[in-house]
Amino acid sequence: MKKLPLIFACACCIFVLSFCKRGSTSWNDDLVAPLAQGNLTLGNLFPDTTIKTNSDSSLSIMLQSPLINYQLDSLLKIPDTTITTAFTFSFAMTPTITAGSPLYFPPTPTIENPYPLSNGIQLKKAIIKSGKINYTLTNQVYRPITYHYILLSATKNNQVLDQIFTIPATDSVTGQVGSLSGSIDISGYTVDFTGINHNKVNTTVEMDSVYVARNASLGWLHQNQGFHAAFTFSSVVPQYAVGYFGSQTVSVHDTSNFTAFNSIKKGILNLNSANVSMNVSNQFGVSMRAAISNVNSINTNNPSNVVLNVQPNMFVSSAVNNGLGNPVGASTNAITLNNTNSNISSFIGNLPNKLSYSLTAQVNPMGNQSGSNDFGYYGTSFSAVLNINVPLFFSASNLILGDTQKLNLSGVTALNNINSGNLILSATNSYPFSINLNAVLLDQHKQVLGSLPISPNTITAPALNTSLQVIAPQKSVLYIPLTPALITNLQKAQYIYYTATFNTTNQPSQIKFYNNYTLQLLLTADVNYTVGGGK
Amino acid sequence: MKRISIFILVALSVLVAKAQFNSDFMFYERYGNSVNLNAEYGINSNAVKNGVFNNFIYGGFIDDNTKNDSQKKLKLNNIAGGSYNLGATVFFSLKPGSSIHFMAGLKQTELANAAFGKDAYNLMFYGNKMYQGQTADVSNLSINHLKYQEIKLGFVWDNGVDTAIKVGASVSYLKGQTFMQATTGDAYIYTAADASQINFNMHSANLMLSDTGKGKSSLGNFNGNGFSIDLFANLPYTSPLGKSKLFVYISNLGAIKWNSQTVHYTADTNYAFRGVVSNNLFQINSQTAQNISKDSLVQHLTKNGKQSFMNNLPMTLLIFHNVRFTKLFGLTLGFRELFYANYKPYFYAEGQFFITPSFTATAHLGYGGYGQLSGGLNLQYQIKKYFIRLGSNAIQGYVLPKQSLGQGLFLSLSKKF
Repeated sequence: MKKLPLIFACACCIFVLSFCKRGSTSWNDDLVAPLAQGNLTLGNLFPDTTIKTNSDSSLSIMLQSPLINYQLDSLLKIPDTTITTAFTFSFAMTPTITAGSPLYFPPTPTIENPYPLSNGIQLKKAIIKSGKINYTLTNQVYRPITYHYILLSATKNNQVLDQIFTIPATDSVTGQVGSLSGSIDISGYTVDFTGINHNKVNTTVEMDSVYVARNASLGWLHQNQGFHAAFTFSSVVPQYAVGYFGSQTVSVHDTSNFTAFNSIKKGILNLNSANVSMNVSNQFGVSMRAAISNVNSINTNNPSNVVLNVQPNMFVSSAVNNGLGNPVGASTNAITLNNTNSNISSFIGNLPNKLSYSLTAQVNPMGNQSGSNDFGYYGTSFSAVLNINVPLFFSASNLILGDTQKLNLSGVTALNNINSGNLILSATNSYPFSINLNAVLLDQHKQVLGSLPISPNTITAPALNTSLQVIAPQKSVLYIPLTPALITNLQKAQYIYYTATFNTTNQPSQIKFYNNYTLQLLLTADVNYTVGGGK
Repeated sequence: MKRISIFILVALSVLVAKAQFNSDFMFYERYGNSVNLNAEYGINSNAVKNGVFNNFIYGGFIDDNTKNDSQKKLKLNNIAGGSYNLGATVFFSLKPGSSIHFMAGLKQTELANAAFGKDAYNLMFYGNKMYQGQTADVSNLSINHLKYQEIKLGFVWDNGVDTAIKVGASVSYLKGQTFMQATTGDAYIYTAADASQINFNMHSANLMLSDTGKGKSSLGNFNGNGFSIDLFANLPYTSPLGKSKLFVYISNLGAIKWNSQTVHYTADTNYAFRGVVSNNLFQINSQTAQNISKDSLVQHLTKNGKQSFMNNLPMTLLIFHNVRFTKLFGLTLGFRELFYANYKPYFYAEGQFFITPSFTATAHLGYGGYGQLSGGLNLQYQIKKYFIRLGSNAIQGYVLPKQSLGQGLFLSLSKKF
C-alpha cells in the first residue's frame, strides 16, 4: 500500500509523457500566389532611349549619343618650361660679405623670358586653373643667401607673384652645397604673356635679386662661388586663354561607347529607316574646318562593323566670347543623315555598342582673322553628338536580350517545403513579336548548375491583319516545374543568366510598333507545400 | 494565410479540456481533509475529429483522408478547445472538529480554444488553391491560448453536518507563462482566378502574443501576473428521491496582466498582394525573393507594437445536482459554462454505481461544450485511506481514435487524513 503514491507518480509521468510529441505535425496545402508581375516595355529592349509616339500612334525611339568630344586642353597644350638664373662670382680679391649686402642684380631690372608653345600658338593672356612653379635653388656661398623672385607677369587679386627664398649656406668643410626646392601654386593667377611693353606673345617678365641673408655672419666670397635658380612651370592648365591659337591641324581617332542597345546580345535588326542629325558644336574661340571620317558602327557582341558612307566636312565658325562667368556662345553646324543620303539604317541596325571616328580639324583655316583674340575656356570643347530618331518599324530576327542577375535563394527556407508544383509565367502579348525564353542557374563561380525547364518556352506573337497591325493580344502560359532537382539548384544558385530571343512576325516584313502594344507578364506559384514538419 | 495557420496550429496543438472540470473543491467534497494529486486533459470539437488532434498531440503527418473526415463535419461556425492540468491540493484543519478547513494548492494549467469557420479550416489544411476566383471568409476567427501556473490558498466552511450547507473560497496568485489571443473581426481573403493577386480585406483583426523572445516562454519566465478566485457551495437537502445536493462552483474568476513586452499586431486594411510589381521581369533577383517573403506580407498587413495587456481567465460556472437514489446508485445532472473561451453550455448526466464500499464506477453522458455528444466512464477504488480515480468524460476518443470527436483522460490519487 505504501507503494501507491509511487505507482501514482509513475502513472502521472506516463500520463504526461504520453502527450509529448514524438514528431512534428505537418500536412500539405495547395497554394497559389503571385510572385511578380509587370509589363515588358520597349524600354527594356532599348534602354537609355526615349519612346516617342508619332502622329499615327506608331512609335519611335529617340536617343542622343556623343561621338566627338575634343577638349580645350587638347587644343591648347601649355608645356612645362624652365627658366633659369645663375651667377658665378669672379674677382681678383676675396671680398668680405656682410648680412643684408647685395650679391647680384641682373643686368636689367626686369627680364623677359620666352614661354615656348607649339603649333604656332601665340598666347597673350591666360588665367591658370591649375599649375605650379617648381623651383630648385642652390647656393655655393659659405653664408646663407636670400633670393627675391618676382614674376611680374603673374597677378592674383592685383598682387604680383612675389616670393623670397632663403637658401642655406654651402658647408665650408664638407662642401655640401646649400639648396632649397619646392613649388608655388599658381592656380588662379592671371599670366600676361605680352612682355614688358605688352607687344609680344608667349613672354613672361620677372625680377630677381640676391642678398646675403640677414642672419648671416661676416664672411668672404670665394672665387667661382655663386648660385643657380631654376623655375619650372609645370602642369599648367588654363581656365581661360586668349591669343592666336595658330593654324594647327588637329587629328583625332577615337572610340566612344554606344549604350542604347547594350542589353541586346545578338541578332539582326532590319530597320525600315533611321534619321540621324550629327550636330557639331564649337565652343572654342577659333574657327575650324572639320572632316569627320571613318565613322564606324561596331558591334562587339556579334562582331560586325558598318562604316557610315558619309564623311562630313564642314566649316564651323568661332564661338562667341560672352566673358568670364558666362557660357560661351557655341557655334554649331549639323548634317542630317537618312536613308536617302546614307546607309544610316544599316549603321544603326548593326546594333553597335561602340562608335569610332576620325576627326581632322584645321584650326583657323583662314589665318589669324580674330586679331590674336582666339579664346578658349576650360571645359569647353569641339563636339559632335548624334541625335538619333529610329521609327519602330523593323523586322527583328533572333534578337537576343541577355543578362546575368544575382539570385540568392539559399535563405528562402520555404523552398524546402515545396513538394511539387509549377512556377507559371502568364503573358498577354500584343507586341508583334514572339519571345523565346531560356534561363540558366549559375553557382558562385558562374558555372552552370542547370537550366530552368521552361515549357513551353515561347511567348507567342499575336496575329496581324493585312495592315500588319496586331488584331488582339495573344495569351501564353509558360510552366517551370518545381522538381526536387530544380529546387536544389535554385538553393545553390548565386546567379541566373537569362536570354530572351525576339522574332517579329511575318518576317521578313517590317512591322510598325504602336503605342497601344503591351506585354503583360504575371509570374505565379502553384505548389503543393508542406506546412510544419520542420523540413 | 500562413499566420492564420500558425494561430490555429498553436491553438490546436495544445487543445485540452477539463474532463473533471478543474474543480479542486470536489476533492474536499469527496474526501474531506486530504491530499490530492491530479492530472487531466481533455480536447473536443464539434467538427475536428481526433484523427487531426492526435497528429497535433503526438506529432505526425495529417493525410488527406484525415483532413477530409473533419472537413465533412464542418459547419458554418465551428469550435474546438480543451485544457491540460497538473495539480496538487491539500485540505486540512488546524484542530480536530473545526468547521474551518483550509486548502492550499499548486497547479499548472494550459488551455486553448478556437472558433472558426469552414473557410478558415480549408485555408489552413488545404491552402488557397481551392479558392481561386473566390473569397474565403475568415471572419470572426477567434483563438486563445493560455498557460499559467498558480498557487492557491483557501478555505471550506463545513460544520460536519450532512444536511448543512458547505461553502468554500480560494484565491490564487497566477504566474503567466504564455499567452496568445487572435481575432480576425471581418476578414476576407480573395484569391484571383489567375492567382495574380490575393486580397486581404481585414478589419479589426488583432493578435496579442506574450513575450516571444528566445526562452521567454519557458516555465521559469514571468510574462504576466494575475489573481483569481474560486467559489464553492454545496447545498444538501433531503427529497423523496433520496439524499440530494446542489453544487454551485465558480472557478477562475480573475485575470492576468501580461507584461509590456506583449506584442500587439493589428490589421485594419484592404491590401492586395501582387508579388513584386516590376516593369522589368527580367530582373527578378534576390531582392525580389525578399520582397515576397512572409515577413514582407506581414509588414504590409499589420501594424505592431508592444504593450501590456490584461486578459480575463476563462471563468467556469459549474452547477450540478446529485441524488443518491439507493445505496448502490446515484445520479448527477449538471451544467457547465466556460466564459471567454468560445465554449457552449455543456449539459451532462452521470450515473454513479457504488459496486462495493471501495469501488465506484461512474458513467458519463454529455452534450455541448466544445464538442457534441460525449460519453465517459470513470472508476474509483479505495484502498484503506487512499483513493485512486481514473476515467474519461470523452471515452469515444479511445474507442474510435480517428473518426470520433473529443477525447479526455483524468487521473487522481487522494489520501484521506
